[in-house]
Amino acid sequence: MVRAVASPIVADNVGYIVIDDLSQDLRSDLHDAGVSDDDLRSIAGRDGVVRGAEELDNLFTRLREPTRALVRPGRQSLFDALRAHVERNRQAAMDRGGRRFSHDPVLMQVLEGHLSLGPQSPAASVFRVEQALADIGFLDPTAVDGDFDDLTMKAVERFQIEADVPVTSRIDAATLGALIGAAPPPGEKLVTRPEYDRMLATDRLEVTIALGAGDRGYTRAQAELAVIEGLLDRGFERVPPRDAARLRELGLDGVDPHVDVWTNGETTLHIVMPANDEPASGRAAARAAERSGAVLWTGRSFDLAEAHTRRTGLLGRRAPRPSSARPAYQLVCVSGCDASAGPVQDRLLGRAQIDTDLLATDRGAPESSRGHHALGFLDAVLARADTAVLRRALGESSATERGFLFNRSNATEAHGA
Amino acid sequence: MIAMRNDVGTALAVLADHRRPEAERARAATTLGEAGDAHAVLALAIEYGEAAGSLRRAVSYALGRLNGVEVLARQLAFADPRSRARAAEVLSLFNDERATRALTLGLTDADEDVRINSACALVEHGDPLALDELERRLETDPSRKVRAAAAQAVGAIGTVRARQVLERAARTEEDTFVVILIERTIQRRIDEGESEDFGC
Repeated sequence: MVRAVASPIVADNVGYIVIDDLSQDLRSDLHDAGVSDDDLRSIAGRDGVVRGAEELDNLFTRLREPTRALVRPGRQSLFDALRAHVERNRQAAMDRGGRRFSHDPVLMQVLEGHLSLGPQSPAASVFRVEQALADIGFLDPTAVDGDFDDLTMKAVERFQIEADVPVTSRIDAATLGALIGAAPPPGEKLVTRPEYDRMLATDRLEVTIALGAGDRGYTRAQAELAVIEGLLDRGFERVPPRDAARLRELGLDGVDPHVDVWTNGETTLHIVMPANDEPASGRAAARAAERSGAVLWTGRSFDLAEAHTRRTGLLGRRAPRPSSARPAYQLVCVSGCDASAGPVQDRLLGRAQIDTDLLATDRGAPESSRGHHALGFLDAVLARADTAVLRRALGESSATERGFLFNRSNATEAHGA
Repeated sequence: MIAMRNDVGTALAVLADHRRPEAERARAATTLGEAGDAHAVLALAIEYGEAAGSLRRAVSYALGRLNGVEVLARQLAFADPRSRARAAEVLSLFNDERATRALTLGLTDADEDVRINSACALVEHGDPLALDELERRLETDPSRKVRAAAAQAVGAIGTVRARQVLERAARTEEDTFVVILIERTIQRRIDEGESEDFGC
């Protein structure tokens, strides 16, 4: 076996190669030099990006024909071509996200690997990192305060998982390099929130709406009428539970009997509307919401087992899930009185590791929304509203392990009936 | 008289303030019952829907003193349309024959919202007493929302005849919205294991 030469590429945690963005010529040249697509994916890891000294060195170690890679009569060497590719990406990243940090000497030291940021780090530097994390959707904008607190740490960890860099809970060189690559120029936000991007990156988004019984004198039946009429107005059609062929087309083999399936061709909804026996229906709704949580499909070739072991993420693929029994994504809206909405919310929040990206409830709300809370949730999700808009529509938010909880009981704006 | 009105006003405010201790709100409910002012019925009925323990007992006592169901039934029959619609909603909380009869009458109201709310309230009762009028609404009411709500209420009754009514309506109904409600109602009764009555 021929040992590959050392990488001639400057690996500074900012330059990178996105496997899916490689030109066909470069990909063919890599194949010729003995690096297959599988090799590339193996080197890149979950995020599909070759970045940092270790991964770039790995790429060159895999070159089984380094001589052929180095010397190509009449053509630029493969090394030079790769170096140019990495440099272009590095420069582009520095021109975008890099401008957020390039004037901060502390962060430049972080990028060079001399230090890392954590609790007690300089507020101005932490603030810049928090703002970048908020602008790409990993941190609630209201938590951007220069204080490296628990919310910041959770956001950093979520980003590290997405970017496939070591989860250190601190802003280190690898994390900052990935953040430079992911963030838009200063003052700009991503057009859509990454939460939605990753949920909509494949073909389908599922939303679970659990609509419970009401109290304070309004009835579940009224809420049900409002929601069903609202769904029809929004172009959704109901898939009858006995229409097995249609359900299979949607990738649903066997639907929980408590779940009503609706689709508009792009988005599949699971609606859970429990019966009048409130404690029992609350438990049934909790079970159904857990079982029928929002799973993202990869077209019609969706592979359930595969979906549980990798999830499409900001930069490519996501981390394996520890449990294969639960869906990868959940957008859940629980509407109803405390007796029915409460147990659902408690069970969802009470999990050791919550799988719910967005959870909205109107638990404890002084006035019933009569189904309009659920429709508001749906509209906000389909419009990919940012956290501030969701908060206005759905009430105050708090961070969960994975995403956000919105609770209308604290909402400042009343919802019309 | 003015002093009495002030007492009622204060008690209503205390009853509606969920931050106050339950015992304090229960005393307010008792005060309202003993004041004999029928205007307190609606507020008491709303609290009845979610109160528990000593507060619920006090609210029940007050509604009994004020003859609450009768007051609401009168309101459903004679008040302005908006108050009639609200009375129908609140009567959903009282699952007794007087309330069911009042709501059945509400199904024939000239106002669409009153008919919708009456049908929705009858979902909570599930009393066969209302089936004939619900069947008429399901077959002939010009409002699709009333027909849809009537389908839900028929489903809640859960008898063999109720199921036959739904299945007949499913064959003749042309409006998608109403058809969905009918299908969902039939399916839900099967899914929730409440088909014993349907099946016997």
